[in-house]
Amino acid sequence: MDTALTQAWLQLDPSHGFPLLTALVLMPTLFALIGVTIPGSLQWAHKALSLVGSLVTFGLGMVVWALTDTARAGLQLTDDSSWIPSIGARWTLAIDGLSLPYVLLTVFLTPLVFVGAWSAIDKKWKEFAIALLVLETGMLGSLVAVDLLAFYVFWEVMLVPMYLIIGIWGGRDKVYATLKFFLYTMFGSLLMLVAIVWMYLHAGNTFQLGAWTQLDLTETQQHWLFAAFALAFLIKVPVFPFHTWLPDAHTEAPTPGSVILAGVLLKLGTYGLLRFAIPLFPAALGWASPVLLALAVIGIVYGAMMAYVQTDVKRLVAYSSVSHLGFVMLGIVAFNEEALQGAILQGVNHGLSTGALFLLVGFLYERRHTREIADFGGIAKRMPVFAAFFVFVTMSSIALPLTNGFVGEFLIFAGAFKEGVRSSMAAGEGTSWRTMMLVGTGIATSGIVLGAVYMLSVVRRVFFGPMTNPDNEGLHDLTGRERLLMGALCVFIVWIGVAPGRWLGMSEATVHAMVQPLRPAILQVRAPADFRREQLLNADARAE
Amino acid sequence: MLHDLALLTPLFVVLLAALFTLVADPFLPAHGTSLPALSTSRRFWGPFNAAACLGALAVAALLWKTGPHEMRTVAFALHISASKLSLFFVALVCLCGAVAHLTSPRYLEEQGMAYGEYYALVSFAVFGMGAMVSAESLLTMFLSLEIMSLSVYVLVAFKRSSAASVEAGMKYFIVGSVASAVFLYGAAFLFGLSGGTTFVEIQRALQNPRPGDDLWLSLGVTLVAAAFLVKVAAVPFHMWAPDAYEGAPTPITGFMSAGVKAVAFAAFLKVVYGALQGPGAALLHVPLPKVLATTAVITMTVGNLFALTQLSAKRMLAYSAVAHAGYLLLGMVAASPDATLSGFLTPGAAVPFYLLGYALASLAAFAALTALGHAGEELTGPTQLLGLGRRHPLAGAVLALSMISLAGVPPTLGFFGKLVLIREVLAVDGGAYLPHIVILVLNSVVSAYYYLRITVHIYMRPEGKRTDGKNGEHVYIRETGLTWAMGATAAAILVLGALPERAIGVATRSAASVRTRAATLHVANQAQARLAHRK
Repeated sequence: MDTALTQAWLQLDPSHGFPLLTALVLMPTLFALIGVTIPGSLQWAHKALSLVGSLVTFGLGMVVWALTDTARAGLQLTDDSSWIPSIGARWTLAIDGLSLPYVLLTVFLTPLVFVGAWSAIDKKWKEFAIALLVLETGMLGSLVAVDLLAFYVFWEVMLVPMYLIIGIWGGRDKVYATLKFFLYTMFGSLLMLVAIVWMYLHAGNTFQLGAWTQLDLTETQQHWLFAAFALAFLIKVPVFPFHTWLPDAHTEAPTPGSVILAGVLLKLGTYGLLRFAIPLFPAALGWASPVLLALAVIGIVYGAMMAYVQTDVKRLVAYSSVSHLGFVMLGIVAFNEEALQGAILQGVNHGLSTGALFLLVGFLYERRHTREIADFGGIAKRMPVFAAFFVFVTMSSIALPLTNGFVGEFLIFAGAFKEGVRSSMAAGEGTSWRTMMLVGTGIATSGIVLGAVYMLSVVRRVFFGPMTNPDNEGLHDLTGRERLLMGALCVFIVWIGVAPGRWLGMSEATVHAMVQPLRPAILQVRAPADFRREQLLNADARAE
Repeated sequence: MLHDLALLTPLFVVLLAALFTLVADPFLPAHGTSLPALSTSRRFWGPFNAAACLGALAVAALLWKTGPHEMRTVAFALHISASKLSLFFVALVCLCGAVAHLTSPRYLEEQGMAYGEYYALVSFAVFGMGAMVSAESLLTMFLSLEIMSLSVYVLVAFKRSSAASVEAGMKYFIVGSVASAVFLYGAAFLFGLSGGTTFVEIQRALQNPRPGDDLWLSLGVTLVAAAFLVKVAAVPFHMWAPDAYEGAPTPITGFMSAGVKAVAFAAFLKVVYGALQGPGAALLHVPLPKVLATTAVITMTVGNLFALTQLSAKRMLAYSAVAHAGYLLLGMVAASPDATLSGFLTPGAAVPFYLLGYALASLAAFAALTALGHAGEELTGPTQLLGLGRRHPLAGAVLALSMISLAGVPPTLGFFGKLVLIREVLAVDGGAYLPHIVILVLNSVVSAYYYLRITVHIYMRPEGKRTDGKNGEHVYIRETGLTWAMGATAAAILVLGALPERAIGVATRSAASVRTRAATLHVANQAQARLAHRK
């Protein structure tokens, strides 16, 4: 099979004059190195330094945003220089509409997390600041690297700091949770490494993504390679049944760790699918679509049901992540423009709303040192502002219109139903995929209802009703710092919800250019009849 | 003759230091305390010998830079050489020796065995190792193997008041001697076949084989290979390793695991791929790459599974050393001249480069563990590591970093070692070894568990009370030499982990000198002509 597609959206711009992306990626590590030289007893210095470091990185992120031309597809602001010539690895960083939203999310969340950690982290601030700054380098690097070895190195660099953050500052079962997180992730990554090296040898000793898309691979090769790549990403997302590390990691992680884990790290799984696994092996996605669809739908429903029965608020939010990421996966599997736009935006939305939820749960935990739902009840009387923020973020999480969640989920469902309904107009052969898509999306909609059920029920049980536990009498409301944090997140929840145009526009051109070559290749395998029909329609459109 | 000597300067520097230490030590007064074993008067032999090792390293680097362009220069009637390969490994073992010397002095005093002979023996071992990788004949190789091994046997058993140490030395001595005998036996067959002991003579003989040669060749190579497999602790010849590693003084464990393994692999490369190249190699009845690959897979799996169950850090690292021998044996497959690797100018860098990463991580880990050897105790059990991160932050951080590097996680040198190895082995014969590589990465995941468990003890578990009934906290060794050794190895792991280009380039060039048989023969002929001319 001829698999070499022309993928204009992966076209690399010539090298940009100033190594802006390199500066962006390495800035947090630079501040981490400065932090190493300052004694750990000066806690305030580390608090200030880490905040300054993340704010400088945020500033660089804004510059990157301003300089990226989102109106056109293609990888921009290229930094390309030689790194390890003897094995052909290059330091190639570039950004486009697919990575920009996540880069912005990362640079935005990190300073907030540092401010949130002022009270959440009570020991070893120096080590914490260094770990989180190195983690930011890993996240940003994974998002902008288009040389596969550089990507892999950044991808693995994220592992150790997160492992330390959960393991040192975590809760009671932190060691079990962090080892599970590390080994699970490493298992997936190492099989991906074998696939990466195999592709590298096949492509003539280069790790460049652009060169890899030009390869001709047999069907069997594509399937195995896709499986190796996808496994690493599916574990990270995490998709059912690879999700079991997530509830443990989230529950045991300290608040800042949970926020980063939910806010950015999980998105890197879906990002990796869109940037690497699918463009490299599109036909294999067609082959795996039924399985991935089933897993996404199971994840949505199962995650929601598991969330409903949790007694620990944080574990509940963790399971809600499994459910929400299932929606993102549904959008990716549908692979049309609406669904993909929705999936990308929903990734950002989940980072904002789940990040906010973890912060809120953290505020409560700092006050009461418990997260059991049964320990609370009626605390809205004592903490009205806290309750207001929590209810507001809940609305975003269950995708109420005018919040960001609605925009993302609406687009995903619009795209997914379109994939089923539009296709069903073509009568005859190959109806199985359409039926699956329709039924799957139908079942997935129940996830929205279930989401409302578990979130509203936790709001009711924690905030309203009579105050039965006398320990809650002394609770004080949010401090100015905490209000500022939540305010910053809520601004974006509303902004994206009310006027999503700017945010969707960021990835619009890229998604358009991405779908054009890839969708036919996917459809050809999973629904040949639809493929022929779309070819005809496109021919008609061109004729007009 | 002078030219010949010049090539071996690094070895002579170390040898002179060893001899001087040995001769001068009896004249030193044992002042300070009534127990000579606890005396501080021998302390300066550490820095002195370390300086000699580092000096030798510098000379080796200089020879590398200024050395002749041809791949190897043969000296002493073709019995010893200075090639890029030998210089690389001479430098590496000098580094191992320097770290061992720097980390030892305070440790020896704490353990009550501060004798000057210790330093002399380490330097003798370094000399033996350097000679072994420079050897161009089976005879030289055997002699240097014995110089190294005998020194190391004594060093392993150096804490003679401890039954464990003596037992370790004895075990290692017996198994090691059998291996030496087997090596000699194999060498005898090769000698009988070729009428000479130098690699050049063996190569020549293999160019015009006589009937029956195939049998002697196969027997000889099998026996020699088996001897090397004992030295690298490959399964099923690994039984000595756990006891020897655990019983030996900690700096010696690090020295052994890094140095002995490195030279054993280098010599292995030289013999099976250097000496046996040419049409004669086709006579070999043993499918060497397949045998190595199978041994590799078994070795790594057994090593990792046994390491999982170990509680003492030292014993765990012994099994981890077995596992790493497995990875390296798989790397040997790619170094084979018969292997076809598409798109590689000079394959074979995997083994030297991996050894560099492994040696640095291993040295760093054992340097950190040396700090735990206080007042006659070895505090390397799991409960004794608890809280190390707080009470000795440097040792804790270095130990944790070396674990991460051994697990092969970026951004450490250990990751690139594994990457280069996977890259080369996967390229052999169009991916014929893909199943082996998959087993290798699965093994890495298993190994990550026990490496991470050490970091868990250092940072993540609450510090309990001492379990041995004594009051107060554990006390660790703090000393300048130790600090420097830990800092330098850890920095090398990180810096080379971010920018590995230079190290890969050096390893590639050193590996290339094994493979260029044509160049070897040419140089050897020139050398012979020069000899004839002098006569």
